[in-house]
Formats: sequence, C-alpha cells, structure tokens
Amino acid sequence: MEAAGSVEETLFDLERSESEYQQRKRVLRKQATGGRALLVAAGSVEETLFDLERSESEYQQRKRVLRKQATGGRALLVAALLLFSACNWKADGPARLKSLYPQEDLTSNAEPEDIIVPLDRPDTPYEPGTDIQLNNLWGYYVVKMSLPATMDLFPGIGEPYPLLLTNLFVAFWSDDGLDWSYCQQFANLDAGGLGETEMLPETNAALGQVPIYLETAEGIGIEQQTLAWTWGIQGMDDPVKDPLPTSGDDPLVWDQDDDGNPGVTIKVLQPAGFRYMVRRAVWHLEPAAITEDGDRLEGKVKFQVHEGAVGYDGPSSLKTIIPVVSDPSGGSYTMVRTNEYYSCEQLLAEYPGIF
Amino acid sequence: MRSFATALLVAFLFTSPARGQSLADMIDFSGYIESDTRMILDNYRGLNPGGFGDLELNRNEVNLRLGINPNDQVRAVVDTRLRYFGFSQAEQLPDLIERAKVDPYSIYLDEAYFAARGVIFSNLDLRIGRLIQNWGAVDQFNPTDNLNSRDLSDPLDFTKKVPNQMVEMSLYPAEWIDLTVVWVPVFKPAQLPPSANLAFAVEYDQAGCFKKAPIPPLSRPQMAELVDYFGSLDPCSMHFIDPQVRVLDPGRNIADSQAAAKAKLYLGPLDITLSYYYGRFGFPAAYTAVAYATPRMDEPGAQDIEYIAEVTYPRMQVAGLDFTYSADWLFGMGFMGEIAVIFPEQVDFGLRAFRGKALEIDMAHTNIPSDPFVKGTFGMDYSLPFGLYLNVMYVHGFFDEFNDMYGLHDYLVAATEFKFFDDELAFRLAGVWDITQRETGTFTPTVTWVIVPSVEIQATGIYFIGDVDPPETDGFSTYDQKWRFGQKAAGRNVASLRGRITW
Repeated sequence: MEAAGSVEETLFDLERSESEYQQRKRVLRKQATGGRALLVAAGSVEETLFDLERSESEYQQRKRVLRKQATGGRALLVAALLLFSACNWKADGPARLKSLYPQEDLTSNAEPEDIIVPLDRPDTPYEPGTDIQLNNLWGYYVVKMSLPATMDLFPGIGEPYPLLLTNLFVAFWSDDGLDWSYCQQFANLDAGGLGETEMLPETNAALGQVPIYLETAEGIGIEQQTLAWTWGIQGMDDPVKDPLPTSGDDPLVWDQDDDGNPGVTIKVLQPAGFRYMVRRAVWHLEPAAITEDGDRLEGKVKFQVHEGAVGYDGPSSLKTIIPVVSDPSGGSYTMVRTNEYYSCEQLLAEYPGIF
Repeated sequence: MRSFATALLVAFLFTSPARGQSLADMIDFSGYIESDTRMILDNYRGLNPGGFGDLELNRNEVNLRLGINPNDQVRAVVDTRLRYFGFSQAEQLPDLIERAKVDPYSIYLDEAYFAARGVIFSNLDLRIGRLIQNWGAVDQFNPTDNLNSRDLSDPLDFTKKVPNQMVEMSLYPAEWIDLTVVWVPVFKPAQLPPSANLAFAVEYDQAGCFKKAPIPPLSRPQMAELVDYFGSLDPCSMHFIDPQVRVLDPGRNIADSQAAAKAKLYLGPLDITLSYYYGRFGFPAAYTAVAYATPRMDEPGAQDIEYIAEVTYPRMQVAGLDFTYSADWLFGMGFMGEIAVIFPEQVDFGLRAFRGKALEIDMAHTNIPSDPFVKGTFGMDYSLPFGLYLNVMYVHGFFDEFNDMYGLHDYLVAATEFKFFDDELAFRLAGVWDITQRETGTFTPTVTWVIVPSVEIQATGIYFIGDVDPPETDGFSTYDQKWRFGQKAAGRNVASLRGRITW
C-alpha cells in the first residue's frame, strides 16, 4: 500500500512537471519560429529544443515505467480489496419468497381472477366440521403441485439457482379411488435461460396416459403416502428406491413417448438439443386439508427428483444432468373441484385463475 | 504362576513398549464435577407472566479431560462432558419406563484431537480433529475469533463454544513469530440459549387475544404500513398456528468451508496478531417471513394465521488485529485490544402476507448491507497487591451483533474481584452496560468460597436491566429499538448455587 502510494505521488509530481515542461516547450518553439530570422539566436534555441525533446523521450519512457509500477501497485491494492469485498455475496430474501410463494403472480394478473368453473358436486357433498366420507369428495378435480428446489449449475461457484417445478394434473375421484393424470410441467429456473427445458406435446401426451394412483381412506381423504412418479421407466421392483437405469440399453428403459429414442424426450433450450431421459419424482404426500365445502383440498409434499440421461441429440453437455435439490421445507399440492368435461387444454389456459 | 502373570500384566499396562515410559507419564487427566441449581427471580421475563421461584436449572455435570502423550512428538486429547439436566421429561405413562425421559442427559465431546510436533519440518505442528479455537487477545468479546461458534446454552457462561472438526497447521519460523492456518470443512452455528425462542414468539394477552408478534427488520415507514394492516384486524380473531422459524442450511460444498490464518508477533512486552477469516457469522440473521391468513370454518370472522420465518447465516470475511501490552512502567497494568474489519454478505429481508390467495403485503428491506464494518474491543486489567482485581473493556459490537437493522452498539464491560483469606473467599461484581441505549445492561454478582482445596461453593446470578418491551414511537417499535438486555429473549433473572470439585 505504501509503495503504491509513493509511486502514485511520484507519478503525480511527474505529470505536474510535464505540464510545466509542455508550457516551456511551447514558449521555446515560438522563440525558434520567430528566431529563424535571427539566425544567431535561433541556433541556441534549436539546440535547447533538441535537448528538451530528447529528454522528453526519456521522460515518456520513465513515465511508462512509473505508470506500470503504479498500475501494478493499484492491481495489488485492487486484488486485496477484491479478496475481501468482491465476492458479491447476497442472500436475497425477497427473491426467495417470490420463488417459494409464487402466488404473487396470481394477484398481479387480474384477468384470471374471475374464472368460474361449473362444478360437478357429489350427491352428498362434504360439510365442514363433519367426518370425512370419501363419497363426499368424489368428482373431478384439477391439481397443481408446486415444488421449490435449486440447481447448482456451477458447483462450488456462487449460490445454486432457484428452480420452481409446477405440475398440473386433472384428477378423478370415485369409488375406484383417486387418480391424477398429468397435463403439463413447468420448470422455472432462474438462471438467465441456462438449463431451460421445454416439454414436447408428444411427451406430455405420453406421460398423461399413465395415471398416478393415490391412496385414500375414510376419515382422512388423501392418506399420508410416499409414491414414485416415473418417466421413461417400467418394470422396476421398487420404483421408490431402485436405482435409475443409466443406459438406453437397460431393459427398464421405456420409450414412453414412442419416438424411437430411449426414455422420454425433453427439449433443452440452452444448450440447444434434445435429451433422452429417465426420471423419477418421489413424493411424500401429507394428508390434504379440506376447505370450501370439499371443493378445494390443500396439502404439503416433500419430494426428491432423480434424473438420468440415457441419450441425447446435440452438444455432449446434454448428457450432464444437474441434480435437482428439493427445498427442505417441501412444496404443496392443491386440488380444486371442476367437472367431467374439464380438460388439460382448459386447465393450461385457465390454471392461474383457478388455484 | 498367577502372581507372575499379574506382574506381567502390570508391567504391560504401565510400560510403553516404545520408550519404556510408564503409562502414568504418558497420561494427564483432569476434569471437574459440578452441581448447579438455579431459581427464577422474576415474574415478567417469560413467555407468560409468572415463574418466580421456579427452578430453572438442576444440572449435574461431569467433565473428563484426558491427554495422552505416547512420545514427545505426539499428543491426543479427549475432553468430554456428561450433563444431567435434573428435570424429568416424562409426559406419558410409557415415558416412565425410559430412563432418558425420567432422567434426561446429554453427552458432549468438547475436544477430540491429536497433535503432532515437527511434521516435515522441525518447526511445523499439526492438529487434526474436534477442536475449540480461541483467537484474539481480549476477554470473551473477540471479534477476530470466528472459527468456533458460541455455545450460549448456559446464560451464565459466555465462554463456551461449539466444537468443530478442523485441521490446524502451526509454523514457528522464528522466536518472534508464529504462523497458524486452520481449515474447518463444515460450518456449525452457535447454540442459542433457551430464551432465544422468545425473539420469534407470538404473544397473547390474558384473554387469549393477539398481543404482539416479532418485530421484522423493516424501515419505519414499512413498519407503519405493517402496523396499519394488522391494526385493521381484530386481535381476538387471530389464531397463529405453530409459528415456525426455519434455519437455512449453510451447505456442505467446499466453498462453504471456513478457513483462517494468523500471524502472531512477539515484540517484547507487546504481542500483536494479524488474522484473516473466511466463513460465516455464527449467529442467524432474519431473512424471510411469510404469513398466511385463512378464514376459520368453525368460527365466523376468525382466521388462522400460519407464520413461517427463515433465518440465515451470512457469509463474511474478517481482517483482524489484536494486541496485548504489559506496561511494566505503569504498575504492571495490562492493556489489550482487538479490532476486526468485517466484509459481510448482503442479506435482504423479505416479508409477505397473504389473505386467502391474495398477496396483501410484499415488503423488502436490506437487513445487512454489504458495506464493510468494524467491531472492536479495548480494555485493561490490573491486579492490586491487596487482592483487588479490575478488568474494564469498551466493546463495539456484542458478539451476536452484525451490523444488521439492529446495528452495532457500544458497551462498557467491567468486572472487579476482591479476594480474602489467601484467595479462599472471593467477591466478584461484573456487569455490562449498553452505552448506545443507556437504559439496559446486566449485573452479575458472585461469591466464591473455596471450602477445601479444589472444592468450591459459588453463589451467583444474573439480573437484566431494561424494559422487556421496546420503546414506541408513533405507537409502534422498530427492530433497532429492542432493548439489548431488557428483551425477553435475553433470558430470565436467576440466582444460582453451584458446587464444584476440580482436579
């Protein structure tokens, strides 16, 4: 610091003397020009000017060296300061809240507020405060599951990026039980576009053809349970615990979307390409609380997501799967009663106003 | 034959095969047994009124510290505490068959490490294991001491720390300088006192109506808006459901490790240490809070409020300097000082409140700015020949303060001790006064009587000065107005009777 300071001081002095020198040079040059008529006098002035210009060259060289030293000193100083202050550490609570509790979008978007869906209620609908009878809850529903998580795109460098997975389903609850049929998944990764994916319509349609069965019970409604929702896999002994297949040749891998590639195909936007993958979401569902006369059920869910690439089309980095780390506080699921004719298409158009 | 075998066994047990060193030479063993009973002396510092005369603590503790020196170059240390709390936790009949419920206890492993001298170079030492580091020069208030977080589980003992796994290398290049480098793979937070829960507690009045909630770190205009919002709600219709304060896991990536280095210079009567620390602050900082209000079906007009807050441990880098100076020319007085420049992680606090699905409050405020700040302690101590000891310190920034919305306060910390009868009887008065707030502090009187060598009886206690409720301006309080020692989260006023044998 001290060394850098003294170099800075010398440079400052030198620059001040440079200004004085330039002034003197201008005067001499003026004298030389005027003095050409007076040859005798001019000779000595030119000589002085030559000496002065030579010393200017030395001066410039010295100045360069000193500036370099000063830059070096500054660099040290800057490096020392950077060491302490340039980590750009920031714990952004408001952003975290926005990610964990994204209902803000619902309130900021006024238009979906007024969506009214005709409801198909059972003959004996649920009455608040009474025991839960399953037949009180029968009917058609739509389901939204919000799963906050993070992805560490650059392990060891900076904070992981927040990710919000939103799954949408249509559901049917009858004396045969409760099943959810997948409609769409949104993966909002807040990483400037990096790692963004898009679900292909064929993939969505294929996933939607395999309903998810939930356990229900009298007096509770939706039971506490752990279940695995798999993509591109079939025939596992224990879908919750068995390891995921790692190769497209594994007999467990299922070309579920029937596109000739192993597993299911996901479109990756950045880096651009297609990933053929297997995936398992393990949900630990808590029983749902029933509100609004049995027309709305809300529960909590803890989850893990396991993914593997069994092929790709595009840059080889598509083979690399960044683990999804679920938020320790878990996520939530909401079921809202609809009617027999309520479709996935309708849900995708109206879901912000329904949930 | 039998006596020969016994002799062999004794010889084996008490003789080191390497050097013929006896086991007794290899081992040093120390420890204490302590019994501590405390009684609450107030009716107003708990979550609910009352409590005077209740026993707050009935603890029995055994400390065993074993040092093993197999040879001159190696030392291993195991330091354990077995702590019995003395209050049954049995709540149901089946609990009564479990000893751990009837007589609950905890086992602490305060240190468990090995040290090797002369590793590679003759002047390079290594320590690996579960360690407690004590950096800094002053007494207790050490802003440069950040490797181990504080253990404040005992409000009468600020000196304890949470041990942690670490690797320490010490180099002694010359007589006048020591260099130390420490790596702590995983951060461990401070252990808070039981009263810390009250910092986030929702309080109700005797009629069961909502009285107050924790004050969030927001600006005064934001607080005014918040108070207006809650003021519009009927306090008797709000039912908070199990308020939660979640602690964000700091992570286990290598980048989340702690590392520190220091250089200690011995310059005659002056010792100076320069230090650097990379890691996290051991106390949690308010990070987010969200409240959901949903109408109750069984009670028209009433609403259930789910309240979830999060706290985080901000990252930081600390550049430190400390010194001790023994002024022989000034009656042998000792001076010490410590200063730390802290480069913190910025923490922005967010608060949201929903009524049903509608987001009604969305606020943000920087709780900890990224600007560097300074914490420091300066003090002196002096022992007079007639048994009087005096220690006075000026502290800028208590050990749990971190330049958040509460700010950094200045404190005067003083302790004086009189000893009589060859140190068999000692009276000690200690206290902390908050210079910034002026009307709050603590007072700790202690009488210690050494009844026979190694055995002492001690009567002590702590009294908190200051109002439990922060002062109000325009009908409400802000985060920075909480009384430092007056607030309930600081703890109860207690008296303690201890007995201890040390060996």
